[in-house]
Amino acid sequence: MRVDGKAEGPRQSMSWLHTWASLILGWLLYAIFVTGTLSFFQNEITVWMKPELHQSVPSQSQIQQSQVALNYLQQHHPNAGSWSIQLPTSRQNTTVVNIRGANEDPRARRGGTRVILDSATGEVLEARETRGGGFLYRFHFELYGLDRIWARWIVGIATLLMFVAIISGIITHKKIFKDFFTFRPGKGQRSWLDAHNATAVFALPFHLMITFSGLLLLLFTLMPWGIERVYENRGAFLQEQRQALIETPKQERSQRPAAPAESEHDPQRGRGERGQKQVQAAPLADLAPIIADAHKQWPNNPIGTISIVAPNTTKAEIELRALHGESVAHRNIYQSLSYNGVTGVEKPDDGSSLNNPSVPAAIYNVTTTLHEARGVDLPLRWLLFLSGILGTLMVATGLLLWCVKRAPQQEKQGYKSLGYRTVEVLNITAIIGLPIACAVYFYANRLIDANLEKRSALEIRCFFIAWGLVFIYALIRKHRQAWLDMLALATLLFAALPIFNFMTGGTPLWSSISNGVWVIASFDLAMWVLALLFAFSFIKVKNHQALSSKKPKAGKAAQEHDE
Amino acid sequence: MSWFILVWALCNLGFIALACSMSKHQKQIFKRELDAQKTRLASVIGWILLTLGLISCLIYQDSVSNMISYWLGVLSFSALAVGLSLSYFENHIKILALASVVFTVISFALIVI
Amino acid sequence: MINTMNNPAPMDSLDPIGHPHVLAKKKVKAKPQTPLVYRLMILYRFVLALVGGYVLSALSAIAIAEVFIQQRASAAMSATLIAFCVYCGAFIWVFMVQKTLKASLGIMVPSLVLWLLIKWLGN
Repeated sequence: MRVDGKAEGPRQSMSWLHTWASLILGWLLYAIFVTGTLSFFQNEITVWMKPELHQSVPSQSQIQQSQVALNYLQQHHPNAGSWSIQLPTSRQNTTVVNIRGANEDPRARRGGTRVILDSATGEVLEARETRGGGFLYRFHFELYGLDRIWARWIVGIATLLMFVAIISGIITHKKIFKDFFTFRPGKGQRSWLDAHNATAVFALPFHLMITFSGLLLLLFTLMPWGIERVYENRGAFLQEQRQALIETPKQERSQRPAAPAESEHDPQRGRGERGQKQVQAAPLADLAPIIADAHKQWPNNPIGTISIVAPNTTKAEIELRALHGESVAHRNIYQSLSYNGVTGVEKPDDGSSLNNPSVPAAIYNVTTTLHEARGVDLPLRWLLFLSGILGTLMVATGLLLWCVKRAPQQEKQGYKSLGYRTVEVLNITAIIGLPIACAVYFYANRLIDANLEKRSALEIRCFFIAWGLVFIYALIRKHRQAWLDMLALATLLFAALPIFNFMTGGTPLWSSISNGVWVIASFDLAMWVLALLFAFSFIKVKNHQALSSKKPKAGKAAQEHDE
Repeated sequence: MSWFILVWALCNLGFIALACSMSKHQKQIFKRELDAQKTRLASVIGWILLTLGLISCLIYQDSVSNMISYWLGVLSFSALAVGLSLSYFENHIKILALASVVFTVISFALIVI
Repeated sequence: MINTMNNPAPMDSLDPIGHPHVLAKKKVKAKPQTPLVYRLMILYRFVLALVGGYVLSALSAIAIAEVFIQQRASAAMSATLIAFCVYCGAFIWVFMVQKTLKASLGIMVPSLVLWLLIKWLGN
């Protein structure tokens, strides 16, 4: 978009569009990327933020794990309507049981009494009230404190601009294959551009997937029109979508997406009503052979949940649900096995099989399931997380590049224009301010008294206060000095966090590693990796002899920039 | 972990071969440009290796959609490794190539045994 | 590629990737004032892309869903997938064309056509 109105080719116009479409909501996009990437491990963050749960060290055997849960349930709730046991996994070190009364629907998503157990001793654990990683996850698409629909629209527009930025970026970077491995360190603006290109191009499939699926996940807010034309309401559409994936001989499925595949011998829901009259006590079948059988049938998929309906009665039924989803193309479908709760005999297969999704459904399923990492195993989750980091760096280098590019001209001017200064300040606020805010959130989790009412809201308030303070600091300090100070602060905060962890009731790192509780260990280690990153960046910025207005570096991009 | 190393190492080799088919990188690696035939060969070998990486993913017992996603994910980090090596260790890219061959063989052995 | 990074240029209309002949064409003034007309044109295009693009994509979704209504779930999902692509495409297109009038017509005319199509199919 030239001021003089002369014609320009697509590459130039797209270059212009790429810059401005990315910049207007760039800081929001950075925040979305950071919180989103962290959300891949939101469970781990939540566990770390509940030090009362750190003591739980599960055994390696699922049979033993289930026994611990069963002992508790038999002792305290032998006559419940149904039990549900979430076994510990590599992402959750505690065992969670849910007890429902006789008239409660065992399949319902909510309800029931939730109890957290130590996976080794069966002791009931009470954790402090905290939103944990869930706050970051919610922030990622609903921000905080805003009306839900407004927030989703803002995030939706940002996502659309991201999509526009990616496509325009691809059009502009026409030498995408010729320059595939180009990175020229130590050349100022050129290096920043290369870093931006590299992080963008290397993880391009990820970026396209995450952005497009981001739009899709908000489709009921942003673009419900197509669906509303065909269906009366959202529920009807979702139901049909799910049913399309499962082929049953009886075609009588009508389940909510989160419920496990229903036992085939029960055509109607509301099991509680069936055969109420003659419910006699009967001992529950031994779970050990059932679990062993499930392991044989699912060699690559551990058991995720065990549901027992009407335990200790003649009507008892046991259902096992696998931990990992069937495939990313089959969204929210988990394998399950049903057994008679008294005899322990497996119920015969209902002959249902998986259908392959239609092309549009497959696109939706694959991209959204990967986006949410729903039911995905650890290796793939790590790949998604690391790709998210690349994406975060892509946004950060882009924001910094905007300033670096204009720095010489600002220098020449002798003063900083308002727009330039705005971008400078917002860059610090976002790029280093957000990580600092996260660190403060974690510190607040330990510093605020565990029994204080509404402490989770207070933790979140600390997060925003810290973020606000960084903004003010960036406003008043000289730019380079602000970067140095904030990088130093970030380094200290993250480095001290694992130490602070065990000083305030969490499991120390050596203990969590030796016990194999990687849920907690990986968090502490990640904090140290971040500290190293910020320390490295600090050193780079400190040593950078430059034009006084040349942009100092930050984040991992710095390590690609040799002096 | 072995699976990741296997796929990553194969893709490393694939990308190195593809880099060898680009004149800019030929100058870096071989100190001179290669003739058309060798360039073509490098390109073909590169694509074959990347495909082998994909096939390795597919023979892992999991669904096709999961494994293609996995492969695409690993590609990013192979490209990153090769890209960084070409920038920082251009004289030592052969070391990365050699290391990748070793990784391939070791991880393959670990899986098969 | 020639390194032309250090040529100062007016901030707002700077080509961020530093395309050689764009910069060569610009005569550098000490502190150029970007004309208001230009800013308004940019604002207009932005609104056209954001709002007009949305209208166009929403109408596409409805039209596609209507035409393929027999396929129900597939139609609904395809309509939505395509709508998002149309939105992005329209946005990009608005900024790719030279003349603002062309951009405006390119959004408004198809929107009108789709709207009429939907009305006609609905009867």
